[in-house]
Order: sequence, then structure tokens, then C-alpha cells
Amino acid sequence: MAGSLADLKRIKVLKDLPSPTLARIAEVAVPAHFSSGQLLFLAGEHCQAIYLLVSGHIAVYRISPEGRRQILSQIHPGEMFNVVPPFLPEPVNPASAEAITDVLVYAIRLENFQRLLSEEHDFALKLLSTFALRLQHMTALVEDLALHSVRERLARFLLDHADSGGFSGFTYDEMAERLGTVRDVIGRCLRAMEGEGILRRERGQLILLNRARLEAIALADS
Amino acid sequence: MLNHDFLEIDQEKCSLCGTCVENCPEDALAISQQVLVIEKPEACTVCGFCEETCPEGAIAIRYQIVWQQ
Repeated sequence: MAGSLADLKRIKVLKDLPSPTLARIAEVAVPAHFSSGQLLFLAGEHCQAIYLLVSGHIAVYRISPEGRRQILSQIHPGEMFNVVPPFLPEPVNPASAEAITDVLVYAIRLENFQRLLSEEHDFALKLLSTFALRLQHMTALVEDLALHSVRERLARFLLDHADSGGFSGFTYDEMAERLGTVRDVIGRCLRAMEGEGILRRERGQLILLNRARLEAIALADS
Repeated sequence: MLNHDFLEIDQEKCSLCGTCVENCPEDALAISQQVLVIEKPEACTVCGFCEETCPEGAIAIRYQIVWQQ
């Protein structure tokens, strides 16, 4: 089944492409549904396809030898992911991907993607901008993990999510995965912050009380 | 997965050991017909003790992160 042009125009990197290029992509983009919790692909496996996310949310992660999961990024509707393998000498998935919610993706098989890259130059150029943004994100993540303590990263996490007012909420495990730690440490940090009057826990809410203090912790100025 | 808004119980992980039931300061939890249930959701103060003491990691509290109004 070929891709829907309407769906593909919702993908940021594709929406401004000329119609003939978009039509070429639609010929090889195959829609697929995944349920919440389903794995799309595993790190280390041979890359089968590149993906375009139309609806839902996906977590991209790696697992340490000790079994701890580190989320590298969250994929939102309109984004493309697993685009690195076609450019590697050995096209292997660098990370795993799991559906956080029910999702609709379009998959472009590796060989079709490589053909598109060589034949549709405007598409190839658009991909470079995707790589630049991804590199920027990873650089910030590495800096965050290497240079800031869990407490500082947690403070930044709380500020960002309260300000965005978006997502459906987080468990300790989910916060730990995003912050490169374990849930016991998250629990200790939050209890300490509660004791300092920075936040309080109340029936399913972390209510932030002191922006200035959180900003100071996030900037390691405590 | 049993979910009373913010308290999520993974019944597949739950071994019905009763640790959370014994330790809940508000007696909000109970084991009923071989299932862990939130018997008194209105009594729950989100102290997090059940989550911390569960040996199986079967309980998770889901927090919305919000500013004080």
C-alpha cells in the first residue's frame, strides 16, 4: 500500500518538498500501526527501514549491560527517525524504539531510502538539516549527563515540563529513564526538594512552589 | 494495569505479598479476590510508601508536574 500524500505532508522534513519528490517518496512509504508498548526495532539489529511518525509518540533508548534503560530522545508526530543506519558502513540500528502510545508510522525500506537519497537531491539536503538538529540535541544531552548532577537535571526537567504544560505525567521510573539514573535516586531527590519547600506531592501532582530556587539548582548555583 | 488516576498497579508484577497493604498508613489498599486494589482512593495521601516498599516494583505513582496556582 503506497503512502498517503496528506500524511507525508505532516512530516516536517518533507512538507516543503516539490510534489514530484513527495510522490516518489509516497510510492515507497508503507503505513504501519503499532500499539502502545510495542517494539518497532532493536538496537544492534540490521536496519530494515527508516520511519516517519504521523501520530502518537515513540521513545528511542539504549539499555546498559546492567539492564538500565536510558531514553535518548522522544519522537513526536511529524518527525523522521532511524535515519542514521543508511549512512553507516554497517547499517545497524544504533538504538531501540518503542511505541509510548498507539502510533501510525510510515516505513521506507533501507534500499528504497538509499535510492531516494541518490536520486532526489532536495530530499537529501532536507535530511542534512535533520541530522544537524539531532546532533545538536545529542550534544546537549551528553553535556547534561556528563556535567550536571541528578538533582540539577531533575530541577531542569521539572521546570521544563511544568512550563510546557503538556504531557500526561511521569512515574519515578520514567523520570529516571530520561535523566540517566534509577528511581530510588529520583525519590530521594524529590523528598529532599519537598523538605526544602521547593515542591509538594499531592494526589498525583508534583506542585512546584519556588521557581527561583529550581532555576538556581538547575544552573548548579545552589 | 489498574489505574486510579495517579496510582498504577501492574497486576502481572504483583506477587500479592501484602507489604503495601500492611504499610499503607491510611489503609487505602487491600487484596480482594487475589487482586491488589485501591479500596479507599479518597484516603490516599500519595505518601509513596507503597511504591517504595513494593519488592516487585508493581506500584507506580504517576505525577503531573504543575506550578502552584
